[in-house]
Amino acid sequence: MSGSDQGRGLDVLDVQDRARFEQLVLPHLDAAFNLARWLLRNRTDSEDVAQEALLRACRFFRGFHGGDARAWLLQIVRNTCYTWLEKNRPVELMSEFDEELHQQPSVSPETLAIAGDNRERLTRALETLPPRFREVLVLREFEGCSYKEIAYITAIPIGTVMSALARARQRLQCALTHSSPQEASREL
Amino acid sequence: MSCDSTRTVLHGYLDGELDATRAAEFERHLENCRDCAVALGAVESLRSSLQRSGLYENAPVSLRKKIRADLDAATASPAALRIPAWRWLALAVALLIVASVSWYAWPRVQNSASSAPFTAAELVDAHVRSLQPGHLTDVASTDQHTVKPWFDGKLAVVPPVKDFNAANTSLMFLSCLPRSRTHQFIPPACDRVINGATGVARGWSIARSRTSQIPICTSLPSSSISKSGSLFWQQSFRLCHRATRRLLNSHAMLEATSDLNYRPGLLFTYAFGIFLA
Repeated sequence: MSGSDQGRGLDVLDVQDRARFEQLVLPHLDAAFNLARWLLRNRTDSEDVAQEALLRACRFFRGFHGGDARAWLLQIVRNTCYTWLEKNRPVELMSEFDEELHQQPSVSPETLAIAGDNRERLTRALETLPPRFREVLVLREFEGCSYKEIAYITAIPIGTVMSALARARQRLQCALTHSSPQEASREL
Repeated sequence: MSCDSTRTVLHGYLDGELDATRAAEFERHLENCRDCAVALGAVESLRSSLQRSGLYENAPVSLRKKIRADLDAATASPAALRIPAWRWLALAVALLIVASVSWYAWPRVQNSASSAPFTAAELVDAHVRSLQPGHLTDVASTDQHTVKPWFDGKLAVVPPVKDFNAANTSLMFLSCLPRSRTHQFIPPACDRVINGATGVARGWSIARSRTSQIPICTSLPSSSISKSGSLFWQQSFRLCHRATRRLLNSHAMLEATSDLNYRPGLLFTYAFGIFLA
């Protein structure tokens, strides 16, 4: 891929930087791949994009002066993913983040629990969410990121992380319970 | 606290992101609001579903390998390329030394090569060629109008040709001289240049002259009696042959010394430069 070729020979690491990079950044490769996988919804593309993101991280590593290496890397991964999406699937980014949610009736925890136990349905529900909802959910529920970290990674103001999560969870509930009502009722 | 606002705040509460005051406020609201309690339960259930789902995807081994390879590519080369400043300085100094010594010594090497009369191999080649049948006597004439045009097409400089039978004749043993260098070896004092006698020859001897910086091989005028006949010529040619061999030895030595005077010095300089670099 062109990104990896550009990375070679440019702003390369010296031996100490390399050791630091391996110690600080590489342990978060799983997190990087997981975020890319859920943002791009495709393992092959995620592998390419995660590789490119790591190369970018490698190039920018001299600019990283300590702090939260995972958040730093995930921010790069997230930006690389969005660049990729803009280029390859611009339609996906059209969905409005601040889309007004119609007030939905409360879903009972039991209904949700049953629907959520179905792994495929959960995957599908998560994948139907717009990328900006998906990313806050992945960061919060899979990575256990704090609101501060989420704000840093996704470049949204820290004051709006909570409402973003609220909307994302609401959307996921909707997707889980309403995407296939007949299926849900059958299971119930 | 209204339910509308708590629908958002409950997420902060669930995620442990509320400060103590707001958390306590939310808990008070929760005690009295069943809807909010149900909503909180739903979100908790959703969260545990997500966490139990095993949807977290670890990086595949192939990706790790690729990234290792990328890192190797990004790290290995610069270690070799990054050269401290003093090394560049040393390299510059070494180049300067090599350049100056070469500039000083090269013309000498060149001069020594061109001032060496000819190489031993050239001399032998020319001599052997002159001994080939049909070359022994290239021009069977003593007439300068015949001899001179013959030289004309073959030599860079046509030597003066005089009557062979005149007194005080000097002979030059031209056959030993490589053609390309002949112009260097025509001594001003040489009256006659022959390759193979045209009938009369005198006692041959070959000497190296350093007059006018041109080593020459020439036959010196001999006081011995002129004699006609090819037999005598053949004898004198043998003499000449031996003399040539002596000459070759001395030239070989001359060349060797002239070149070796400078080559080891140059070699040393280059080696020193490489060492510094």
